[in-house]
Amino acid sequence: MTRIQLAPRGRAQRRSTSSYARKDLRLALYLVLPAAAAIFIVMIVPLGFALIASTFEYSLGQEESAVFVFLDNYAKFFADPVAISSLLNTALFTVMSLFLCMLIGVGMSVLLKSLNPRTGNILRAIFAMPLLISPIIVSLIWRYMYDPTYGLVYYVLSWFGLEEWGGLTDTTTALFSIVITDVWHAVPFIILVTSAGLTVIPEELYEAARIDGAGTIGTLVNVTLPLLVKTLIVLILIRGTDAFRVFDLIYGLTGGGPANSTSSLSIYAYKQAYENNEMGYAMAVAMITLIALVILFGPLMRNSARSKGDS
Amino acid sequence: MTKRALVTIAKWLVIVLFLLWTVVPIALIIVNSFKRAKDIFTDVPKIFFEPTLDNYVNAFTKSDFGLYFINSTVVAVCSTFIVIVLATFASYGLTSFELRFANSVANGFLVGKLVPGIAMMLPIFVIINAVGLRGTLVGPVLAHVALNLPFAVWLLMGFFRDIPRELEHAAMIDGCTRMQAFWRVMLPVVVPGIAAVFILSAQYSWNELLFSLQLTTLETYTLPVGIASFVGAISVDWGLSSAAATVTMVPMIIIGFFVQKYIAEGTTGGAVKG
Amino acid sequence: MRKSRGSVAIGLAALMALTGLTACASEAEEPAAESPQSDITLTVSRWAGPQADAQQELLDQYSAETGVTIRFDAIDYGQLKQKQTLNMSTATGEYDLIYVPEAWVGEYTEADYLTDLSDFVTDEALTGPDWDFADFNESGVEVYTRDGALYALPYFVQTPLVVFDEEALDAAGLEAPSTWDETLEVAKYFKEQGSGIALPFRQGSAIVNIMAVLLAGNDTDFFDESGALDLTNPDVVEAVEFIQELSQYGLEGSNAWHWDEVNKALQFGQAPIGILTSGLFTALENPDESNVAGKLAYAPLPYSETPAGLLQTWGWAVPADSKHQEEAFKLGAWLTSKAAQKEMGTIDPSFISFRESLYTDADLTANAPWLPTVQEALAKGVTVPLQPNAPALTDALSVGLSGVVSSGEDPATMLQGIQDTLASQF
Repeated sequence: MTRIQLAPRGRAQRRSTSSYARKDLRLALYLVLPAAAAIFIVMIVPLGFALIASTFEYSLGQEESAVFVFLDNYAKFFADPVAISSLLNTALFTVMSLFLCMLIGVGMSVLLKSLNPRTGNILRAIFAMPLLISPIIVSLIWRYMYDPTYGLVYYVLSWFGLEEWGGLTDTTTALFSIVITDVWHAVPFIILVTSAGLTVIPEELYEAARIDGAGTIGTLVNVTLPLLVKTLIVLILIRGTDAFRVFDLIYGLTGGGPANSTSSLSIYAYKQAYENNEMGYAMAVAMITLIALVILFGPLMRNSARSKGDS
Repeated sequence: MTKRALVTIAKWLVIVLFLLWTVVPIALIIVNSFKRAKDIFTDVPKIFFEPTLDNYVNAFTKSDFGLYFINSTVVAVCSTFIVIVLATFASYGLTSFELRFANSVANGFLVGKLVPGIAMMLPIFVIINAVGLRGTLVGPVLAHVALNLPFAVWLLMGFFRDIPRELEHAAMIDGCTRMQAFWRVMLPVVVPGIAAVFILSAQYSWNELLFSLQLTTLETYTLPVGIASFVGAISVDWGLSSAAATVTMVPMIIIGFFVQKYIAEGTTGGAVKG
Repeated sequence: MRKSRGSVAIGLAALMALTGLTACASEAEEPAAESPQSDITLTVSRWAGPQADAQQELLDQYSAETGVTIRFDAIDYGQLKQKQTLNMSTATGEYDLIYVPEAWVGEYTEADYLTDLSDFVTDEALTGPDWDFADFNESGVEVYTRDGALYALPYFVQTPLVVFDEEALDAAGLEAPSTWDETLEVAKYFKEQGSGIALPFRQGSAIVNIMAVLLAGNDTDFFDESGALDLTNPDVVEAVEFIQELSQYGLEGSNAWHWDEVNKALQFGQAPIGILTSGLFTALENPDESNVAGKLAYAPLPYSETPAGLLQTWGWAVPADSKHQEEAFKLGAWLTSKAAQKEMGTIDPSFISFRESLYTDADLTANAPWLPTVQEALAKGVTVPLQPNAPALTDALSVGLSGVVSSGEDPATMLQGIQDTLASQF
């Protein structure tokens, strides 16, 4: 699964002639090793386990009766319409959530940057609040918000005569309702990181743009966004992969219903593992999730790694 | 002039709307935490009600909320500290030494981040149990560190890459050792990134439920475990869970308030320009 | 020179990591100090909530009597099964006594997680002289028995009932509903008045529970007489059609609700009628928490043939990896003793035990006006499917029923679909 990618050869040769030679290399190794070890134990080892387990039909606690089925679990996934619809729901959720988060998040960060620093700071601190709240509390808050009788959402909708809106109860609107909750929770993340990225853009560039007569939009498109690209790619990677694995909010708000219209891959895998007790199949679903993520976000990873050469 | 005024009005309108969108749901929960159950669900929202502290008293007496608070603090402080140290070193090591394998390691970190939670729980549980650390806070700390590292490393790598190499070289020519140059020249420049990592790891660790519940025992439970027991699938005690939610979110919000200013300002952001 | 700098950095990093970790490790203290009489510590696992608060009082009492230290691990229901299975499959020995519903027993026994209690229940040295195993309701013992061996002590039962505001019905000139048509009439009336019937029709276990009771009330079952899956039986289809029709008169939002939301809707007078599980009735009759305390009446779920109820039960099991199996069983026996069960019922009126001698106990019925109705319903008590692969069926049904009530899917088509997919497995 790991994308092995060697740096261009020219760089390697330059390294051997560079002034800081082997000892620096060792220092670099020592610097990277602890982090790599932590990730290896907590993530790569389980990944290996999941890969092996996904080729068995087995239940937790009944390891001795496990049967090697090779790729049957994967075939089973693609034969199950519920699994496929969970995959599609997950993809739809990710696209909607990511699009809205990036749009609102980057927009608000740029807007905040244009205010005087003091006001910007206070507002940014307030805007950061939802991010700091536990997902359990977020679902609690939004269950209350979406309550058709007492909830604020319906109260506001009634101003516009929209109180008939299906919200969490209708198969056509439930997924989007959860997207809204997710956006509420995750936009602050985009604002915080984008704001950190914006600090690195030198003030001179803005002045230069102003002298060149660029308007607000022109500055945004020609100066801000190009310099933010690396931050934005990292954000899309992190936020997108988180959204693709959404679990807490769905579990708390709808449990995957109505009629599986909000069932995500994580919800589906969880049900297989701890309700249906099919650990092997659940691991296959986890592996498929991982493969889908690599297919969707792999190109961005490569892109982001390459951008090193550009800087 | 009028066009400018219009733009300003539009700008502030957007900000006020976003402010309401952000604050109102949180305010509702905080207000509910001071209400009696009967006052929470009324046809017309009760704005004037007799505030009560009963929910808070219950939260602390019905469960070990004080203990959970301490455990959460220990887990969040330890894991955040370790994440910052490891991520800063690793990202510096991966960007500033022209390592041949830097890109593959960085990508490997990110693949780690993609592993679904459901695949992680069982192996980690078995490992933690095998080394005799089940029921200690080491389990959640280790899990939180690893889950936060990929993002932290990637974010900080971006910052280190943006620092002109000359800056470091100049410091070393001035007689600094490599590590001195790192401490004095490089580190200050990445402070906004570290601040972002701080907030993001701390909030994650403070709020994480799954590992904090499954890898621990009742002596080492954290706040989210306590809240989940009030919210539970069987019945929701709205007043009690609102109080517990408030106790849990307020410290994070206060810390966020203080730390986030480093994100926007940095400390010596000017150094980059030089 | 450079090497030493490198080592300093590594040393520092290692030190930081180490101090961090050890500080964390030292935080985890050992459980409370030894008691004067016994150095045994038992760990009990169950879900949190009002019933757990009541349970705590009894456990404290047991500790005081015997000197046994009890660690009471009450967690969110949603995490309970995962935590129990992780611990038992890894044989950590963490738990000595676990709370299990009948639905998990098949899976747990197949994985050899549980201790066979058959010999323990006949051992007076463990149970005490007046324990009286025969007093347990037979169906309660049955759901925890696998291949002739008893794996849990039946402790608590709940069943969904119709709950309604008597005054509201009287005011509207309506009778207490018992048949399908009467229920529809009442629900329709209130829907037209702007509210409706509160239903736990979220995709999940509650809607399947209700279906199971309706089937029994219609003298039918998920399976035919030979035990084969029989969802296309006209009686089954009829019951699901009733669910669909009833959902049209559901309170706004009911399709996304679980028990707790129905509870809230009844408690605050938002819905004059609803379907709720008896385990949550305590809050309804508590005047501090409820706007309708004292006004409510209870009826079995609507039926066409005979009133029926659901045996939704919880019992105490001893994990095979427990290091104190006999001590754990002693605690389980004490908790299921007449005196302790009566006390549970006194503290938490919606706690209903399997002790037949307590069903008519005047002290308990005084606080729990629903008890006679529960009795009536449980005279024909059924369970949801309990086969080892039953979760696949109940999951499919919860999804299918959710579709029927929320997007108007045709009941017969839905049932046919599940029958086609799953018939081979049952």
